[in-house]
Amino acid sequence: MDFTLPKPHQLFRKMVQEFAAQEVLPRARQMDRQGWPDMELVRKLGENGLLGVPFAQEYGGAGLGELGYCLLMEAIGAVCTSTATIIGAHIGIGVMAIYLGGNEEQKRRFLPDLCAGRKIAAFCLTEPNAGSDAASIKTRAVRDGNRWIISGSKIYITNGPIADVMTVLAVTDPTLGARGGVTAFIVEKGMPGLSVGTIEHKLGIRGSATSEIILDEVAVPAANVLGQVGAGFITFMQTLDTGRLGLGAACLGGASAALDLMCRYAAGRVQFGRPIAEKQMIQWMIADTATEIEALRSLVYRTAWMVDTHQPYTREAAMCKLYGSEVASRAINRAVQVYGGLGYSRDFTVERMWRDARIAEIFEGTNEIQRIVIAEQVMRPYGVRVRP
Amino acid sequence: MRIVVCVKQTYDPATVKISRSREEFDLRGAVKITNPADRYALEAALRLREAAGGEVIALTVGDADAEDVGREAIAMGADRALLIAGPELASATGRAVARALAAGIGHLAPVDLVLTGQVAAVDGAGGLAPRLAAALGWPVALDVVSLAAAADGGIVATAAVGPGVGEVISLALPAVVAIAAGIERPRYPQPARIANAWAPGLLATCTAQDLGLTAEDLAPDVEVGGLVLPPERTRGQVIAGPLATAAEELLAALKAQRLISAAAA
Repeated sequence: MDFTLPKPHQLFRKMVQEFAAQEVLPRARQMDRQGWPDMELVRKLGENGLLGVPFAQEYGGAGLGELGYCLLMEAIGAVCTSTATIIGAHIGIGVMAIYLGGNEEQKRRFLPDLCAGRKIAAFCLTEPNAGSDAASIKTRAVRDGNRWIISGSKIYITNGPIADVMTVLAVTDPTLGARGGVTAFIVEKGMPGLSVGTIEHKLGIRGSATSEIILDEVAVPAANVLGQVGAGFITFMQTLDTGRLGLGAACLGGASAALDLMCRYAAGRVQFGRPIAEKQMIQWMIADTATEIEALRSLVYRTAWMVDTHQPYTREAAMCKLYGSEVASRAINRAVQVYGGLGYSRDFTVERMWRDARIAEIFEGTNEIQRIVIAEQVMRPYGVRVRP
Repeated sequence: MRIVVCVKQTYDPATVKISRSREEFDLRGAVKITNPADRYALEAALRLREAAGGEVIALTVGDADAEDVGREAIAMGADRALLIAGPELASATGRAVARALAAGIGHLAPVDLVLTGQVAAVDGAGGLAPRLAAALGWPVALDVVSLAAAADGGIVATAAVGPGVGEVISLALPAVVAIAAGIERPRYPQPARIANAWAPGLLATCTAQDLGLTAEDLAPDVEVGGLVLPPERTRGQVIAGPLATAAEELLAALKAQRLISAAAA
């Protein structure tokens, strides 16, 4: 067993940590305050090859696999959750749906621009009445000769207002249900009838843009059906599997940053004549956090290895998301506690991190859904059917 | 134009600790990196190649670990790299390194231009470029902040001679130029180039013996006699008492230590 990263990934980690420190960190607070992405930063991410990290080089990606993607998300997640969210929605689910479900022509048509950041992707699944229950979507696509007419509305779409390419799930045959009756489409900015609806005002990840996406009889050519008609639900669920892993990696970065901040602060903060780091109550918080981070790191990188070596990973990816989001929330909550009153002030990074952390327990499948996925995988050999 | 950029592996100064008890560097936990100034030299070479065409070759001397530095240079944009490796080279002093690099440059002939970083992060010395120029018998420009190909086939370099003051130098090729950090920030290596940098055929390795260097060539010209440690930080002085008298006392203390002038008070 060898836990050493391959040489190219060691260098990539160094590069992305440097990029995070020099380009992302200085913009993080401003993005949070303005409540909108820094498009100059998004452009730089693309220019520096960071918007196509896991994808094959023949489509314009970096060819660094899921392991590279996790290193990217860990490094960016450590300095700015909003930026990690923008990247996650783009690479992890938006582009990933085309990469996993698209045919050769579609991959050649869309991936180079998306990997270079000339275009930004969004993943459009959630609807007002279809969140965790993704199969009950109402957006409808009707065939009209060589095109499909799509109508409906999608909500909580990360990157919605800045996206050029959207992967959209719609019902194509209501009689068939999720498996067979639901199709994924590639919808492009500028198609008549496509518009950005209400912009969400969020508690955290305020530097990412989230909105409603409205489809009012949008005519989409048949060439933009993602993969096969009727295969959309499977493609979207597979996409979410890998997306979850990346989210776990971003949480790993956030939790590690919280540990670093709380250690630094505790070592310098003097009360009762001694640094509070010498108090056992503080030490226990730090020890628990460090232990959970190590466990999460092992889980995330082992799962990345499973993806890159083509093993089944649904169970592990759900664990990465579930455990990652809870470890990050606990770590950051403890960091706020160690900071005391300062941790409640907008002048300190831990306050932003605390607001940013909460969403990870909710989006990309709530943690309740992750527990169902894990239980289903664990209990299947015992003949137990787990259903939501 | 064939440009050779000399890159060296060094310890990240931020990760090197000093052991006071043993009076030596504590390298446990120290991280090896490409000497930061050398990345500026590589950036200058890549810009020259983009403007005038040609080839950029990274050249490094060290132990087997130094391969990482050559690979990083390839990831940043160098066309290929040559590593002169051997256990005796890891601790080689300035003269031996210059001789090994000069032999490497001879091996890569015909070379038009050799770029180095101006200073080494670890010792802050800037000895390599002059030594290399002497070994090669080529002209040298130091502390260069900008570089361009000239119409006559040479290059035009701007050397920093004072704060904000530059001296424009025309150099006939071949020449050695030491690049000062701080003007064109080195680019990030492209992730796709990082993924490909370990592909076969991009980095060649040879030994000092392969290049005809003898043990005498590589003999040290510097011997480290010992380490002088900076004085330990002492506790600050706390001035107590009522504000008015404390302020007076503080002023007096600052004046006594010549930290402020009598006039300022």
